[in-house]
Amino acid sequence: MFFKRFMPGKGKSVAQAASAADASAPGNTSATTDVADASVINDDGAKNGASVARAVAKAISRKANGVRRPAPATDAAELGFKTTADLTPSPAPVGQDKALEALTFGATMKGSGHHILVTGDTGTGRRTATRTILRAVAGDMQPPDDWVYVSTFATDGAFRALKLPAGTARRFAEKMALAIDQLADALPVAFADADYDLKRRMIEVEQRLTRDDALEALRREAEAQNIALLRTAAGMAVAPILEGKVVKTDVFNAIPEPMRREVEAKIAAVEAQVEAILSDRPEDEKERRTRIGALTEEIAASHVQVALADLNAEFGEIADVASHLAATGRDLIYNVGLFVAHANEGADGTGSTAGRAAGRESSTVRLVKSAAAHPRFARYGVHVMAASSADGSAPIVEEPNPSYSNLFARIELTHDADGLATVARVRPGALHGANGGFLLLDADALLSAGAAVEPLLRALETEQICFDPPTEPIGIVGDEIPELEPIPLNVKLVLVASDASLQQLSASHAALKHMFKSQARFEAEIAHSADNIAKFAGLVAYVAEKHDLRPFGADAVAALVDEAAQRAGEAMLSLPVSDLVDLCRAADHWADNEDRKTIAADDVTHAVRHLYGSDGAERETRRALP
Amino acid sequence: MIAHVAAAGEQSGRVVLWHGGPPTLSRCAIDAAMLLGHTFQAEVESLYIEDQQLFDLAEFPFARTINPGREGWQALPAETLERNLRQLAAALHRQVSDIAEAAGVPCRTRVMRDEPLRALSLACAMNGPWNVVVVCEPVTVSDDARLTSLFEQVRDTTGVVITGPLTHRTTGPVIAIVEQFYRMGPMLKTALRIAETHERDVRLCIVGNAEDELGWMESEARILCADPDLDGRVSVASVLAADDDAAPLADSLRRHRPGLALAQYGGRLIGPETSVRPLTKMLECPLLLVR
Repeated sequence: MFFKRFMPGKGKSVAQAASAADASAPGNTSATTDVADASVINDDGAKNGASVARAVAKAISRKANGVRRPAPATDAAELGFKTTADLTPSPAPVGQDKALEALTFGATMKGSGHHILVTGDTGTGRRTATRTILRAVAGDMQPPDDWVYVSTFATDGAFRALKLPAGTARRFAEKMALAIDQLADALPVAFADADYDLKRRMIEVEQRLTRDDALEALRREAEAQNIALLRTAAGMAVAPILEGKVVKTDVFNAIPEPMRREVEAKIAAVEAQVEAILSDRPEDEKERRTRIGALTEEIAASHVQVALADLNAEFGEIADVASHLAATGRDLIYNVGLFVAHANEGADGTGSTAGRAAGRESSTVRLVKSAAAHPRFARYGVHVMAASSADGSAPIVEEPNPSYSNLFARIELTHDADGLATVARVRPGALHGANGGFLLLDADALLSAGAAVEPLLRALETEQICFDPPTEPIGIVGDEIPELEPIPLNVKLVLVASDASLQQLSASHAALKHMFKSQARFEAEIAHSADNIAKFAGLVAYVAEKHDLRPFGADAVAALVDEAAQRAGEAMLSLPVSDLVDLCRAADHWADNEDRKTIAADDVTHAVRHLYGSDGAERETRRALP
Repeated sequence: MIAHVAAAGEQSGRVVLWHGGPPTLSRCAIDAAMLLGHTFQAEVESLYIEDQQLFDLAEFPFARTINPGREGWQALPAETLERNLRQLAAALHRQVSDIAEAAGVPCRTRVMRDEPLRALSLACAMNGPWNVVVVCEPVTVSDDARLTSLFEQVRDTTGVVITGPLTHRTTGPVIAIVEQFYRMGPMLKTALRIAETHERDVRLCIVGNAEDELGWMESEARILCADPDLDGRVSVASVLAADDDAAPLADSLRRHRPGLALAQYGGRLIGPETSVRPLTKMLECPLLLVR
């Protein structure tokens, strides 16, 4: 099991010697040694109120009863070493085998829903041990898939979740940004190109050319009947002609009336045809627009295809991603005007090619200056919610402030010139980061979070991360909160709690207690056994090494054991690691004063007196108080 | 033909900017007129010709006109026709005069009433030694006969500048399309004169039916263009247009994107037997058709 790696190799002989001493020592008062990482002094910055009360009560009780159980004297000679330099330093929590076993079991248990509760007083080493074990377990686990949010391009602004292979989400996001930048450069140029311009004007003129053809055909037909179509400054006119010239009125009036009427009828008929040709037909306009739209689409599509080629090559095999890329391509073509408008407007660095070129000086793309970062193109943004780490292990996320937004996500809105809200960024919550691994929370912090507890429980129960913020404002009042597609959740919650905070949490959220299948309880007091003494010695060696202190002599270690025993009484040991560190450092100071190369028992005694006073009860009281 | 146009020292000729037809004006045509006026130190005459046939038609009680985009037919009253046309002419002349002033080209205006080609012929005959007619309205398919008649009836015109519905560009290189060897020198000279005045390059586009003929013409062209004085401003391109097909030539024009093209009337692009239709679909710059 994982916690076995905490066992100090050289401590075995210490355990055997101490065991022999145990058997012969009368009035053995055990002390519990509580182990915590020296760097975590006062885990949450203050001693637990209940434990303080207990310690004070004990002190008062002893003083009141006049009971002073003498601390058992540990025989340094029987510890089996001269100084701690002879030992293998071990940060392992002493005497917490059951807790470590429960932790390891819970962490390695396969399947979902097996959440872990870690309880114990501050200073018992619960957090350090939890982190150590989780790191070891996570290191052997496969990194989970990455997740991103992308727009559905629907009018409601909803987002869909895409699952990507582990470690690829950031690359996907960067490549999409690069594609947008590429189009921001290429599309305006394409639509300013002379070839496009000519084709577009051809379509615009086509209707006129078709009309001209029809008029020309009519002209020839009419001319055969001595009717002319004249294109004049006043417009098109229809006139009777003779030998290619318009007939004079006197000549016309001289012809017989039936003939005149016939000519007038022909003129009227030609005029009707001219009017029909010249009249604007709605379907012509519609056809013109359709053809221009098709031309625009054709030009845009070729560039969009090139821009997305890289993404398609790398991610096109993933079904959901392929469909998103197809939808993105369609949306880009439909909104090609955004790119032209961006180029037209961008005299500043944001929109100009020069500005983007400056932003790409370094080897990484500086998105802050790229077109992709502009609110105009926010709809194409890829919001990375979970990205696997470089070392390829399962994630461990510790959230010190488990508010709703810190757990579930935060949406940042921006507003355009018309006041319309656009999603600028979707920031992931701790649940996203921990998905596929472990989420480490503190019960007191969770209690403070209040509104986040129920949603968290719901998420763990449904195994989904659903974004449904309770009351937190997102943007301006009235802004629509976009819908985020739920993401499947597979996380182990590891909750670190004191007895008091657990009680409070359970009282307010009954379902919470039933969620934890494993409970690792770190005891404040441990057995005063040879094995524990051996581990304690290894811990002292670790503290000395970590804080660059002198090695402790066996007598000094014995003195520390005695101190731990005195605190706990009743054949137990109790010494929070923060106190142990303080004592060790103070003892080192005294040794330094005496020019000793090794810390001796006297130095420890001095340190105890200095830190906690000489009177036993007073010492206990002082130690208990925050 | 163009030799005396291109030569310095000749008495200045005229650029006749002809309007009076449909009210659609080509700004590019006006710009082309200014370009030629400036190049050859020639005066631009804005000539508005009132079509006599229109006045004859207006005498009829049933005379009326129709314009695209407007509702129905409008009566054509003889009483107000002259006034309306004069107002239109005045507006056009003002526009041309303003452009001429900005271009630094001397400009005069005139109104004539007659059958259009006869009026034009008279106007060109009045002054010389050369005239280039610039047709102000974009050509349409109906202008086949009109263009042919123009070249036939207006004997005193050196060349005619036309534009099409797609014409939009007057900046860019000057392209001279040479289909017969003997025209190469004068065409090149004219193109160079225009180009130098406006700091443009020249593309000499040699067109031939057969590879060997084309090759020979191209080599002669390159010799001609090797003159150090030309300073590399002239480039030579050849276009193989078998069976007098105009399509390769049209492609070449599109590719070079000229601001002005010079071509021979009666060549592949346009001639008495050739329809204007293809030009209306590809002409992006003014085209000077020379005899």
